[in-house]
Amino acid sequence: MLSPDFVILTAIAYVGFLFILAYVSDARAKRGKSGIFRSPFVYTLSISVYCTSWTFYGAVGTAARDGLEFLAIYLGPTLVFVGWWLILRKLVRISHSQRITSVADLLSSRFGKSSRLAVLVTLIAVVSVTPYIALQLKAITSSIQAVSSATGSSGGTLVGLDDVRLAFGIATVMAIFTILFGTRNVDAREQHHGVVAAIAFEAAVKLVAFIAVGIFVVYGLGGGFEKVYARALEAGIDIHEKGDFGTRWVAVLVLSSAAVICLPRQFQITIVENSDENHLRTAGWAFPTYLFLMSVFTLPIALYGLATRPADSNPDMFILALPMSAGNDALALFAFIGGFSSATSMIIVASIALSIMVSNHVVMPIALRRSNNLESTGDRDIAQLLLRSRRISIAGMLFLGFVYFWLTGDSDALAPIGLISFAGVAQFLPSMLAALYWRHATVHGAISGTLVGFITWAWTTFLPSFQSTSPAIATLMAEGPWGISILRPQALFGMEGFDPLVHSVFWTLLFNAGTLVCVSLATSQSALERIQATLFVDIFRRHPGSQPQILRGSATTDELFFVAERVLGWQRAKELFETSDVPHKGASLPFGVSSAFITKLEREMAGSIGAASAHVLLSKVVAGDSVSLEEMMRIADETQQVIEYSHELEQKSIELRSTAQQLREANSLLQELHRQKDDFLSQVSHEVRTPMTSIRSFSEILLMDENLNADQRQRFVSIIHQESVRLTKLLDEILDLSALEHGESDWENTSVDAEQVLDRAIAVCEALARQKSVTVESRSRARAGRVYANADRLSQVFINIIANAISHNNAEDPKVQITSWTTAETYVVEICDNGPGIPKEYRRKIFDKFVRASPAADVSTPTSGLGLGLNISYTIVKKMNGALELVDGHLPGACFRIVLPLEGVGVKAERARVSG
Amino acid sequence: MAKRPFVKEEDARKAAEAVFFAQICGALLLLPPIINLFNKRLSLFGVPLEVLYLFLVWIVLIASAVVISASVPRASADEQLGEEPAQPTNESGKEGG
Repeated sequence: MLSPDFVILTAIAYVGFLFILAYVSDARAKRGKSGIFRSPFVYTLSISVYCTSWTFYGAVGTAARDGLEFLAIYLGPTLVFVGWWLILRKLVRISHSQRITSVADLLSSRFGKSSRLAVLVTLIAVVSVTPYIALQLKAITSSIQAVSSATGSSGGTLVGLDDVRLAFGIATVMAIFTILFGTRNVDAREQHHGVVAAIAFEAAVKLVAFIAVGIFVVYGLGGGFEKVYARALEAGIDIHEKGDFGTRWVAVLVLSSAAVICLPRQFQITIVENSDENHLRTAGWAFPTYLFLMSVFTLPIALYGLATRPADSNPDMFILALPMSAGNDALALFAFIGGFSSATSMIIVASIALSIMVSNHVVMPIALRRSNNLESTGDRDIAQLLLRSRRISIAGMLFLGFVYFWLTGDSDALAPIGLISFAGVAQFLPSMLAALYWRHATVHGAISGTLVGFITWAWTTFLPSFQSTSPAIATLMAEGPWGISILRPQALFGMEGFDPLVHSVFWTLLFNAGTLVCVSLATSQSALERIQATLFVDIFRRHPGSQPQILRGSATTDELFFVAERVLGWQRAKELFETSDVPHKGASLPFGVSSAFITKLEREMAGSIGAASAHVLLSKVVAGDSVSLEEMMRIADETQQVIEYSHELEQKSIELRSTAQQLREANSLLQELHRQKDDFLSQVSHEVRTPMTSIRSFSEILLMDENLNADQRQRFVSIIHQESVRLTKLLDEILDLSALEHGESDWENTSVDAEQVLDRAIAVCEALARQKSVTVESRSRARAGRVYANADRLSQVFINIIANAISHNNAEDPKVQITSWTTAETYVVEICDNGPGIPKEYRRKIFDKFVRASPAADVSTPTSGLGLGLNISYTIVKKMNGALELVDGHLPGACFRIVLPLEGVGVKAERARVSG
Repeated sequence: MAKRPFVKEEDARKAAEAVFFAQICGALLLLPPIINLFNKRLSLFGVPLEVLYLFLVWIVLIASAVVISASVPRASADEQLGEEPAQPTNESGKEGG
């Protein structure tokens, strides 16, 4: 048996030690030597503030009453931490980059820095967490009772201290501790090194204490796990679950998963106090391990207690009662310190988190509204105002907790109160998930969803918790308000037969999420909301350093400094201004402050007073000529339009450029044609001039010289005749060519048999061939080849080519070979000779006008061509959709190939195939 | 986990998928109906099967968390802060503990 004095003194000494620990680590952090206190393991230990006295004492009680349900409370957080990469990492990243200070700040900042949402969240947090604080006070008083009077009789015997006074004393000491270490300063990132160190230490203490008791009970008293279970069986206790894992198991799992993110104290420790995102990497497995170790012995302790303790003893206190009944007072005291640790750490962190929320989101906005002119605040420093309001709210919070404890007295077991609180804060979950992952969730959706969820929670969970103390509430629960049974708190809309917790979780989350989604879809976001939504949802996609520039500023630096000084303190404001090269003293001249600086300042201030308040405060200063966001968006829209317009212009100028290019090309083509025409004219003149000259000279001789004999006259006249024939022929050909090129009016394609035409042409040329003693041989011939052509013109082409082949052939045994055949779609004729062939340099332009492959000396002979024949043939064949080309034949001389489409077939593809 | 020369974004995407998968599997194992398969009033070494099952799942979850933590890409200090490194902060004006 321990004396109450001794127990209380031990507790006080323990708290004293925490003071020293917190003081030392704060001092070290100040000197920049936070080292060990900022390790991932300290971070993990501090997260285990999740395990409150409810866990420490209550888990054993739950295990004794409800079997394995207590495990769900740990397994939910385990799932969340195993998946830290998905949710926690995003929360930490956002909170670091946006200087988030609490759950309320997170939601308010995401939903357009809404003050109303922040106030609502703060209110819900206070209402849900106060019972939780009361629960810790209750746990401490009952544990002191249990450890100092083994019989478990009621309090009031402890050296003049009854439960109430004891609780009040504890609340006061806790308030002092929290105020001293939790509100040392208004920190840019709301990190409290001293507190975290103390919490981590307490976490270690409670773990060691619980495991020590576990080992003592299981191995010292029980003789191993197996024997503990065997003994429980002997005592007639059912060691198995009392039924299937059902809806309640699921509900508790969901609630605990939600709570480990949404509880203000968890958010504070896990997200806000996080100094390095990589610490989550360790916490991801270390925190589940901590929870695992905390629960290994829970069930055996409960079973052993049930089997050995009297039936009326409180299972919540087994962890103290078992060592004491075995006479191990030292272990009992250690276990008491463990439970005390878990209770105090929860009280400390929860009250810090709540006080930050209350001061930033309730007190600050009111103070800002009351003092429209900041000048009138005089020496009432905003930082001081914040600190004062935080201290008061910590005291207020603990007092509220105490009052709740006082009113509810010694009712119920510990666990139900904890779950009520969990269900309350779980109302943040839908908005929080929407904040992180749903870009289009609106502030109206978040506010109404949370509010509806909260009201449903208050109706279905919070109110019924007063059932045992208030007869009015008991009647209301039995009959419903005004006798409307469909609204009964624990059978809403007639949903009966469910566990009250399941009932509440189902309806609250359904209403909450449903309202959030519906209202979000029905309303639209403001510009600021849209910006914040992008910042939150796309946090991992953003390039570092690209903050949106929300306030445009041409405020004087004096005004800005005035505000900054009041929030951040003179020292930090000065540093901030100096590092950004912004003058802050004596610069009454309006200095062009960049909007980037104002954004930075706003963010720094948000770290102290919350996003909403910082925004309001800075807006006031910059309001002189501030541009409203809507206006900004309008300007942006205009800019967008200008950009679009200039884009159009660019488009047009590209079009113009291409038109000009086309014109240039057409022009150069025209010039080329013009040049060709000039060339043609000069060539024609040249061609005409030669015969004309000889005609003129011979006719002059005939006129002048009368001494000419008849023979000579005869010869001269015949030359004149030859030349005029040649001239006529030339003019005929030129006319022919011109007619072909400009489209002959009487040109008519009809169906003809090309073979017949070819035969006729060969017959025509026979005389010439005989004259030149050239053999014309038709080798293999197609039997028929109906093509769509002009028979006369086709004949002209054949005659021209055959005649050329005959007349230019000066070989020893001159011959011309004519071959023809048809393919699937074409009729082909090849006319080859064994003459000199076409010299290489002429091959490419043999079909041009006035091109002659033979030497110029031949010009005078009447048989030599004028250089127009092939060109005319080429044009004719083209007009019949065919092709005339020079190919390499099997004879040494030239070989011309004429390809004509058979009736009704295009030639282009075929031409490629035949020649290829 | 060996360091593989992955592009960082690819790593992050794979990590997110693996983590999501692990979470879903964990949740499935812990929820009815699977959990009730092990709730048949049987005992192993004198300990109820459902208790052993739950602790086993728990250990598997912790092990997967260790693997996940070892394999996901680390965040650099720049990424975390968005811009300049954190400044020394405990320098508030006249107040103090």
